Amino acid sequence: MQADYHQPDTLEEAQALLAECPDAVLTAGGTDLLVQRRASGAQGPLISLRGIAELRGIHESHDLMIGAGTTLTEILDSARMQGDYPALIQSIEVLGSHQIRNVATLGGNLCNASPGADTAAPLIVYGARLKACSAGGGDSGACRTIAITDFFEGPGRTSLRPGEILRGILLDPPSPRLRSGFQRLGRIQMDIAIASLAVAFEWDGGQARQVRVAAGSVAPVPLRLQATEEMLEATALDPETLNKAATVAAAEVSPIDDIRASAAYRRELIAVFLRRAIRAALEAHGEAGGGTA
Amino acid sequence: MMVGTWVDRRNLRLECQSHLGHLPAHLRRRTRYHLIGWFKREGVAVIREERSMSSDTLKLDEDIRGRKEEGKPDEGKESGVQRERRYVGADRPRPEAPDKVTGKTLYIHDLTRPGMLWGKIKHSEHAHARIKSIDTSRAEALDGVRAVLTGYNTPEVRIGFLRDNFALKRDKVRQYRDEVAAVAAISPEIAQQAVDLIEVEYEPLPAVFDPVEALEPSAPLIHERDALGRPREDNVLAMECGHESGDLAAARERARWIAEGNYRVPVIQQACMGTAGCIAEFDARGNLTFTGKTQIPFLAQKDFNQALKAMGLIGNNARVVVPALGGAFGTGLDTHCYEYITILLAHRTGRPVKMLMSREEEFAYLSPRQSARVHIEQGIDEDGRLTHRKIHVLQDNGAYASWGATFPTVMLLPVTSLYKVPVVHYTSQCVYTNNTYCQAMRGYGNPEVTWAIECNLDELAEQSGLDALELRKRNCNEPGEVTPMGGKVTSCGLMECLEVTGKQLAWEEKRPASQAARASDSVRKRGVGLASLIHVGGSGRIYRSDASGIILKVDDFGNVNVSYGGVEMGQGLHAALSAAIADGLGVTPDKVFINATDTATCPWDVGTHASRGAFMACNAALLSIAKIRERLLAFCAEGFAELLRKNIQTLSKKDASFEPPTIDIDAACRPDNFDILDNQVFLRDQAHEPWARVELGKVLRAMHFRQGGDMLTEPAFYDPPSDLPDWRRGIGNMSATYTYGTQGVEIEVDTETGVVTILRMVSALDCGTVLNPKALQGQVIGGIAQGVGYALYEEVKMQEGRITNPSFTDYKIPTAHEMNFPIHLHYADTYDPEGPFGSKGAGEPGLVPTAPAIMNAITNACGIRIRSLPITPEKVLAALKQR
Repeated sequence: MQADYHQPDTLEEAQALLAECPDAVLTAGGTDLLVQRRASGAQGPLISLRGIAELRGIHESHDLMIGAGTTLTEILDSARMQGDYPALIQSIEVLGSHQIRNVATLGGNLCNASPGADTAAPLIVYGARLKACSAGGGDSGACRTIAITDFFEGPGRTSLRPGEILRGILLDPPSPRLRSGFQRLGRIQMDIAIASLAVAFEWDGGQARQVRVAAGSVAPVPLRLQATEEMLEATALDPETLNKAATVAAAEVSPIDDIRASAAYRRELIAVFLRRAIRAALEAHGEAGGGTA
Repeated sequence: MMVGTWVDRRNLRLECQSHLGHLPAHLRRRTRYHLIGWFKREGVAVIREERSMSSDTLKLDEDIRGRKEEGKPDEGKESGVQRERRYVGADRPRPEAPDKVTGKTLYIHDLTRPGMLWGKIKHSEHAHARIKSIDTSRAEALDGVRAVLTGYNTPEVRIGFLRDNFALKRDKVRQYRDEVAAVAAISPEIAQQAVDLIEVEYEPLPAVFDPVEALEPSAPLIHERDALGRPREDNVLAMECGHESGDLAAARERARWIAEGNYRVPVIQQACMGTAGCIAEFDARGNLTFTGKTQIPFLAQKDFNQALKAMGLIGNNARVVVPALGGAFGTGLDTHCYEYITILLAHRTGRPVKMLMSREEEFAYLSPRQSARVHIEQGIDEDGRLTHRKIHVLQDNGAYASWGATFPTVMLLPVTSLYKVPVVHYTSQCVYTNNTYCQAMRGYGNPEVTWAIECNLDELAEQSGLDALELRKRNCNEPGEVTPMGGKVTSCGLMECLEVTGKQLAWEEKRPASQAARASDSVRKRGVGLASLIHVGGSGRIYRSDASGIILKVDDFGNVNVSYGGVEMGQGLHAALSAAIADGLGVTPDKVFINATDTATCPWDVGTHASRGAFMACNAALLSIAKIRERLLAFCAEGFAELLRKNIQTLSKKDASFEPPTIDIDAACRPDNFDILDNQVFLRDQAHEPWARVELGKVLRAMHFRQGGDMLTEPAFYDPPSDLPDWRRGIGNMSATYTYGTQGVEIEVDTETGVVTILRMVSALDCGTVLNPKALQGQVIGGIAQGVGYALYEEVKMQEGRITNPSFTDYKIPTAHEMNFPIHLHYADTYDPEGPFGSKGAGEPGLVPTAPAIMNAITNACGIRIRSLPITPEKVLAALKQR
């Protein structure tokens, strides 16, 4: 495997390089990309974002921005992330191996746009926004914010425009009433997910509000399950509602049969995951849904 | 005696982490590889023990010495060897470990030659097709290409034990991986580019992928003619292996309960950490040196010599050299098309040629473990004693015959001899299909049929209401027994293995409790299960000669240089052999140097398979050591007194207070008064006197540098006392001794997702004396890891003959996460009369009973029975729904 490899030090340099060779592919950790290129034999030039300090780190101002080049290990190690975004942490804990998490980046996981990207479903339920910048932009200029639900367009395809680089992932500070959780299954732990699911909701006096549910590996893109959310909205998350919502969720996804599992099994998992993710999210705060034993 | 360890769950992950820095560079880069696999396959112990085994080990050693003195028959081969045992049985690191963990070991991947070219192969794009034309012109025109070969511009090189395969295919292809052309070029990239430029035109033929369909009269013929050119009429291989003993009808009458079922196992990959590869180079006289991954250097030499003859190199020789191997697990038991093609490329170009398999190529183009379909019926009488066992095995052989076709011969042992069963009817059939052809893997044949036998036994237990452990105890093998195939049971610790496993699992309490809890509405259900094994423990005779040769050469410095034709492939052979030589001869293990396996310098060995490595190598070494000691001590009777006098002189000069001995030195130098220990020869009755001991090298030099001098180089050839079975009748004592064992497991089933989690395991193994507890622990736990993979995760998936999961992304083996449970290890208190130091083979058994033990535990937990591996969550969930 041979390729021209550039490693710029600043975002500006990277954008200039990208303008010079528009067929170049951006790489960060490379844990997905290099495996794909080895299989496909692709030899086009690579621009590595690893050396760009401004893409790294977790920055707090009025909201939280995770630099796109922040490694998954750095996110796992952040006390702030552990406390405020447990579903994201749970998804990273089971992503790849220590070695992979040490180099893989959050931005890379999203830009690779795998339907099974483990961090996508949690970021969807946290309402993440993605900041993308093109040449001449830097922090001030040609940047725009994309809602994460508008980011994924298909397997391997995102709404990033030519010349745009993902700068960071923006998250709202969570309210103290936010409950969230994540469920996933692979054939073994270190595997692309057969299915995954994340939930987040405000737990307000025994009622769930602003319920968000998203699932991975069950559609061409990480999928927000709006019908399921509606079923759960303003309910006490009692077992009967959960069962109904689980049925809706299983119907709302559109999985395929592949080497890892059948579509039917994926639907069953989604139903189980919905119930479990909600229960676990409440139990983490010593709470239970209405009417649960 | 009990040697026990628990794998500490928390430490396993940490240990793996802390070993990372020591990984060889080429492995560090491959972060997607499974770390645990590397540790497992390289034998680096990563499992921290809760307590040291050394005290138990010492006790074991004492026990055995004690028992030997009580009158264990001295077989002669160990004569003069029964002294203090310091290294055999001790927990010592492997001699090759420092080089491995520091990245100094050179694997085939690291080797290169001046002027070397790289080979690549063009594979078939059809499962079954006529080759209409091959256009190599564009490949030949590419810069850097040195040769392009096809079946049409090379001599016909037939391979395989049925001679039904060809290095390069002509006329037709019979499977996706068939080799139709090959390139040698100055780099692997150019070679691959050239391969991509080769255009092959095919005429697709009807294909068959199911062995039952392949038996139909209307099925397409995979091979129209046999090796002799005679027309073939069906797809059945000309292999007969079966067994018939006792009156089946009468046994069925006698049976109070009968259980029958169809069991299946899939094709799986050996998944060695070190992928396959070789270098072929010719000298100017036409002799070949072949360096490559093999477990059978001498059979490979024979195969390659045959190929040289076919290439017109009459009378020339193939020398086979084995580099360090990163695991083999049976992949090296046969010679492969890519090896012959590399030889053809090297011969055509006159340059050394290297061929290396990438992980994906290895998945797609090498021979995995064969699948099997087993129909079984077993019966028990009123007292729970087995009345009969009837088994028919149907094997999908794939397109060509390799050792996959001989699985039924290995199955013969467990079929006739696992538990006492008086009536055995066994038939087998092996059928050509257009699937990938298969080969050996650890224990081959045995886990496939043990899966059926042990699951079916639990079905009998369930039917009869008899406890499953009790059922096995009632039919347990014992010493002195002669099994239906004529297997002579010498030592047997199966009863102890069953009892210990039951005790460790808390069987009596948990088994009925789990069964009772099946009906509860809890989502997670627990269960316990167990299964046993029998395996060849004293090699397995499948050729007329089942021997191992060895040469020990003691040099002027007291070093012992060892030339042994068997292969260290990560299993710990060198650890066992160096300890045996150290204890046998009386040297320290650091004085033992084991040479690279090389057909030019090592005596003949049939191959490293059948768990025979340590058993054969150590027995051969003990024969050689007996000769060395005899000759050395004979020299001492003449020449030791003079050495002692010099000793006394030197000591007197050095130390004024030294008092010379007053005894008659010449009289003390009688043949029975010598011994060797810690690299020193000494007088037994003056063992504590400094003047009475001489460094071994000094004695060797005295023996060497004199008139009519001599050196100690002793070959030995050990052929174990066993019979080559009559395969058609399935009769013959195929091994010098047999290894037994039981594995138990406690699992939890998530009844909503179908996921099975292993909570803990017990492995009780009867392999006689433990030669090296740490190495054995690696073998057993590594085997269990493969057994867990076989049980729960692994399957080479094929769609119309094409492998659809040829990578670790799509083919999953267990990693540290899945092996994150405690394993209790126990070794039965047995001593085998034929085994070196009382030991029996232990290389393969680790994975044999794992899958049925897990399935039996799942049944205990939730009442379902899945009869095809792997037991995936989907299958579990489907079975739960059907219940």
